[in-house]
Amino acid sequence: MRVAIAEDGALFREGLVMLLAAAGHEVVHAVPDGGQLLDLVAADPVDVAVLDIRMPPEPDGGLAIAERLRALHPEMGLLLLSHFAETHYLMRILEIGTRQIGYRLKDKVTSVTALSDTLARIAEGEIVIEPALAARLVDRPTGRQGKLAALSEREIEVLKLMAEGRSNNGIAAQLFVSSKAIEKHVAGIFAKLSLPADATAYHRRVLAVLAYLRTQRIET
Amino acid sequence: MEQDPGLAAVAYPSESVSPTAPRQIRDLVDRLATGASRHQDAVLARVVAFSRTGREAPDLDELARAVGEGLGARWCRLSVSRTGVGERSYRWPAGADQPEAAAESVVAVRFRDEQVGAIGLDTATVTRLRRPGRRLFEDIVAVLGPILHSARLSLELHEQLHTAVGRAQDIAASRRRAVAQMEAERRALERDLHDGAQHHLVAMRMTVGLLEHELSTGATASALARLEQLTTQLDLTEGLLVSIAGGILPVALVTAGLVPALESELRAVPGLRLDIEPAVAGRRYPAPVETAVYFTCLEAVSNARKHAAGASVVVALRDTYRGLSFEVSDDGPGFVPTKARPDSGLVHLAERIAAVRGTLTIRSAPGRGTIIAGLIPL
Repeated sequence: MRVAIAEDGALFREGLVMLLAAAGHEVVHAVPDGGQLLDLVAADPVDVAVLDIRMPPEPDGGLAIAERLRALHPEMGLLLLSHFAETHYLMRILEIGTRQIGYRLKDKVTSVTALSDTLARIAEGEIVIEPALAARLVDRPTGRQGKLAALSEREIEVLKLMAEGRSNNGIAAQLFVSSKAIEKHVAGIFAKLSLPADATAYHRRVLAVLAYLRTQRIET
Repeated sequence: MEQDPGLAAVAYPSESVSPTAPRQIRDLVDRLATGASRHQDAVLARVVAFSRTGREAPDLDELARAVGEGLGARWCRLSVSRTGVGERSYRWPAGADQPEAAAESVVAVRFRDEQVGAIGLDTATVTRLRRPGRRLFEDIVAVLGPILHSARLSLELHEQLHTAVGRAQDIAASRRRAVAQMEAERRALERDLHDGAQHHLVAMRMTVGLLEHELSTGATASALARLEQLTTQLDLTEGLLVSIAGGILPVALVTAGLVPALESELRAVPGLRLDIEPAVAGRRYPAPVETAVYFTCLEAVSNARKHAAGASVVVALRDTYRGLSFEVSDDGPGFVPTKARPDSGLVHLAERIAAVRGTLTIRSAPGRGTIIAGLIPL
């Protein structure tokens, strides 16, 4: 896979280059600012652009660059990284796009497998959301309330994986069950949460689940 | 001002006027009862009324008018002596010019053997006074004793209150600034930890990720090299953490004390000389004092290097009988201290020193260098 990196922290940028090289990817560009990356990928496009959210122009230049890249190169995958899991970053990212896009924490993509897995899912068109953030949306400090309380433990697990942006096959692989079983769980969850049944198709599903979890958080 | 020799008898015959002013008032009331002239009764009654103004301080401008008018003077001046500061005068008619010393006859007003103020009248009026006018004047001076005494207490109380309120405001302002400074320091620390240490930790995690990958793919040689890289990164991160913590309190200051900490920090500064008395080098001071002096000296040196680049700087420490004294002087361009901005670093320095009950003085003038000196009583 051809990858471009814009990250103002030299240490992290160099580390990423090494990890990507070890994973067998080709790092075509590695620069400290997003503006520079825009020019470079215009001349020499890549499969996925990896962007630090907090880089110039401050305070979250990576999001602005992601927006431009998505408008200029709709087929280019985008992976946004930050130090802290921020719900408002996630919401901005969902506005930029819901396919071929990802939001992960820097210290969760420091292994070759995690980084490769994330990039592969993005390249395949999925949306990848930091598991800790997805779990935070599902689990609330006050305990599960309302319709979420009606879900079984298994359904909660499936819901979290859906919120991470995983496909039925992805969820099945994570939970060591068949895709058919996952389909049943998804239907059950949608019924219990009164989500429209026609939203079960992958991309609409992620949005529906996140929107639902978000309104749940706001209501409490 | 000049005491009128003709009136000395009125001012000082303690057996007839003072010290027992209340008795004087009783006598006066007796005499008023037995009937002196109507005019004098009225004047005295008007003056005595000023002693009965309750908790409010007597209105001395009005009193000066009552006395002046009563005695048929051209003008009258009452003054109240205040401890430590000059007297305060009240004139009738209001806005009258400062009288010529030669034209004024001044009589001291006493209360319980202590001079509490004075009354001044135009000399022409005083010389013209005959009995019973002179008697009336004596009575008035006697009655003024307790009134001016009470006025003096009220003035002093007011001043003390004013000072106390001012001091309380200073303390509150200083506390607000201290809180703001602490907050700024906390944020700087947070930033150092985030921008420095955290990045290094993530970089190390990445190295571990690579190491894991290399081990799982059997690349033993590069895994060994990776381990070495990890060790280097660990050392780097440790050094970074030490330097961040050093921003809070230098190790040398905590373990070895003020002088070794200053020496290790300032020894390498070009053009700087340390002039430290052996008595200071040989002892430890309370931790807050050491910290305050340490940072103030460093700040003063850094100011000197910033504003007086190339100047020679001397940092001197002395152990005096009044406490620990320090001085940072340079022979640079200097400045006008009164023109220093209130938000300049100098205010922070003064507050740091004030926090350990010390005082900081800044002496400078254009072309005369700058001396920042402090004394911490111990």
